[in-house]
Amino acid sequence: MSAMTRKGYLDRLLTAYTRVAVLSDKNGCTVYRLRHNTKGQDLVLRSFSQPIAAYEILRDVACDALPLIYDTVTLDDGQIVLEEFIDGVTVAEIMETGKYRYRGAKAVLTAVCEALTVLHQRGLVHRDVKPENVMIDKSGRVVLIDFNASRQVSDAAKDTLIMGTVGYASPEQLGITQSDARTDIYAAGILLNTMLTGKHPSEQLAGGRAGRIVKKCTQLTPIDRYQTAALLAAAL
Amino acid sequence: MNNCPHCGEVLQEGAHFCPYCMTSLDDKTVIPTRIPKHKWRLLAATAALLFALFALGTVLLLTRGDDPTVPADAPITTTGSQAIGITGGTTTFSSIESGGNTATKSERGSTPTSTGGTDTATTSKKSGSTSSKTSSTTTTTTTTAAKGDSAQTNTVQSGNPSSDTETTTTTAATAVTYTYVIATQETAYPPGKAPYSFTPSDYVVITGVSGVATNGIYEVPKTIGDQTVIAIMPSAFAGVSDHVKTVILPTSVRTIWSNAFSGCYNLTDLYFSAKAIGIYEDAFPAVAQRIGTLTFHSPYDSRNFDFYYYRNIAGDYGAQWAQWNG
Repeated sequence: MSAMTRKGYLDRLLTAYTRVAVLSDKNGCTVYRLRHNTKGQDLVLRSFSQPIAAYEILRDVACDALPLIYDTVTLDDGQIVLEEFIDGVTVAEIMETGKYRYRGAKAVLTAVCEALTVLHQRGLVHRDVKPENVMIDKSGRVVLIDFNASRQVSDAAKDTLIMGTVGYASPEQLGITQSDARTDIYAAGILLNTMLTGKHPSEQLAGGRAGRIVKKCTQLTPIDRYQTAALLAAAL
Repeated sequence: MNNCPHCGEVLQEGAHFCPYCMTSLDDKTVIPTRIPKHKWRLLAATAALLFALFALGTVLLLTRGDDPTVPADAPITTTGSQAIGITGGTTTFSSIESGGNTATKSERGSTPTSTGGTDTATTSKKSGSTSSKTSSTTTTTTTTAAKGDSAQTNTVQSGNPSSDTETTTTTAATAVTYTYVIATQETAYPPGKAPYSFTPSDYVVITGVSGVATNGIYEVPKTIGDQTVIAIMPSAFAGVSDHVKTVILPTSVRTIWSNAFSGCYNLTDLYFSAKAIGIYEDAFPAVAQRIGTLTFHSPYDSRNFDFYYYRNIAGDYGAQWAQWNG
C-alpha cells in the first residue's frame, strides 16, 4: 500500500518543485501553486481530506474549457490532485474593472457551457459555477475550474448537504429537489446576468435577449430551464 | 511503487502522471471545444424537452391526487408536513402552528407525568410508521417525545429550577428558562445519523422556552446540569414566539425538528456553532409566510458546513429567504 500521507507526498514533491503560492486553504482543501525547479512550469496541487470523485473522472479528459487533471493520488489521509495551472485571471477579477458586453459574456458562457456539457455527460454536476471559478488565460482560453463542490448525479431523493455559493445556488441545491445538470444551468444564468449587470437577477435583470435567457435559466422548477448546457449555448 | 519510464523516479502505485519530469503516462480523451450545432441535434433536444415537459405534466397530474399521502421511506417528522409547503398554503401552515402550540401548552401547563404514560406506546408506533395525516403527525411526534421521556425520567419539572440557576441566559427582561427532557435515539439525531457510541442519558433535548430575553436574543445553553443539549424539539420556541429575534445555538445542538420555531415571525438570525446540523422540514414555518429573510450564521463556510436538511426547511421555496453569512 501507499503508506504515505499527503504531507509526505508533498514534501517529496517539493524536492523537485518550489512552492510559489497557497492559492486557497479552506474546507479541508489546500491548493498550492508549485513551480518545477528545472522546467519552470507551474502546476496546481490540490490536497483534500476527502477524495472528490470529479477529479478522478476528469483525469481522462482533455477539454479546452476544463483544466487538465494530470493525476489523482489517493493517500492514507486523503487525496492529492495535480492539475494544470491556468495562467490568467478570474471573471470575478475582470468584473472589478467593469461589466461585460453581451458578446464578451456570450463567449465566456459558451465556453462554460462546453465545460458543463463535458461534466454532465460524465454524470457530474459542478454545483459552484460563479465568476470566481471561471478563468481566462492570456490566450483568451476560458476555463471552468474548482470541482470541489461537484457531485455525481445519483438516485437519492434530494441533496443531503448544502453545497455551493449563496446567490448562485439553485433552489434544489437548497433542498427542493435533487440537484442535477440543470442546477448548473441555473448558476450559469446567474453568471450571465452578473457579467452583464454586475448584479443578481433578483436585483437587476439583464435587458433584451440576455434577460430572457437568464430568466429561463433561473426558473425555480428545473424542467422550465434549458435542459442541457448545449441548449443554453445554442440559445446564446 | 513503480518507476517513471521516462525519468526513473519512484511514483505512487497506479500513477498517471510523473510530476518529476512532467510527463503524462497515459492518453487522455481529447474533447473538441466546439459544441456541434447540428439541426437534428437541436430538434432531438427539443423533442426530448417536449417529452420531459409532457412527463412532468403527467407526473403532476398523477401526484396532485396523492399529495396528502406521504412516501413510505420518509422518516418520522418529515412525513408530517410533506404536503404543506407545496399545496397547503397559508391556512395549513397556521393550523400546524396552532397544533404545535397546544402541544407545548399541554406539555408545560399540566404535569408531564400525568399527561404522559397513557398512550406513549401507541403514539410512538404511529409516528414511526408511515403516516397519512399531515399536521396531526407533527404534533403527535412532539407529544410522543416529551411524554415518552417524561414518563421515564420525570425531568421536565424537576429540571426547571436547575436550569434556571446554572445554564439559562438570564437577562434584564425576565429570566429565560429552557425546559428539557432526556434525549432518546429518535429525538437526538435525524434517522440514521446517531453514532454508535451514543448514550441518550448523557443528553437532553429542549422542549420549551419561556421568559423574555433582552433584545430577543436567545442563547441556548450547551449543557444543563452535566447533560449536553443536543436537539431543539417541535414547538420548543412556540412559547416565546413573540419575542424571539435571534437564536444562538451551541456546538452541541445537532438537530432542529419540524416546527421548532413555529410562530416565530420575528426570527431574523440564527447562529449555528456545530459543524453539522440536521434541520427538519418546516422548522421555521412562520418565516416562510413573511417577507424578509432569516439569515443563517455559521463559523464555517457554507461549503464545509454539513447542513443536513430534510425536505424544505421553510415551506415552499426556502431558497428565496435562506441565506448564509459565513
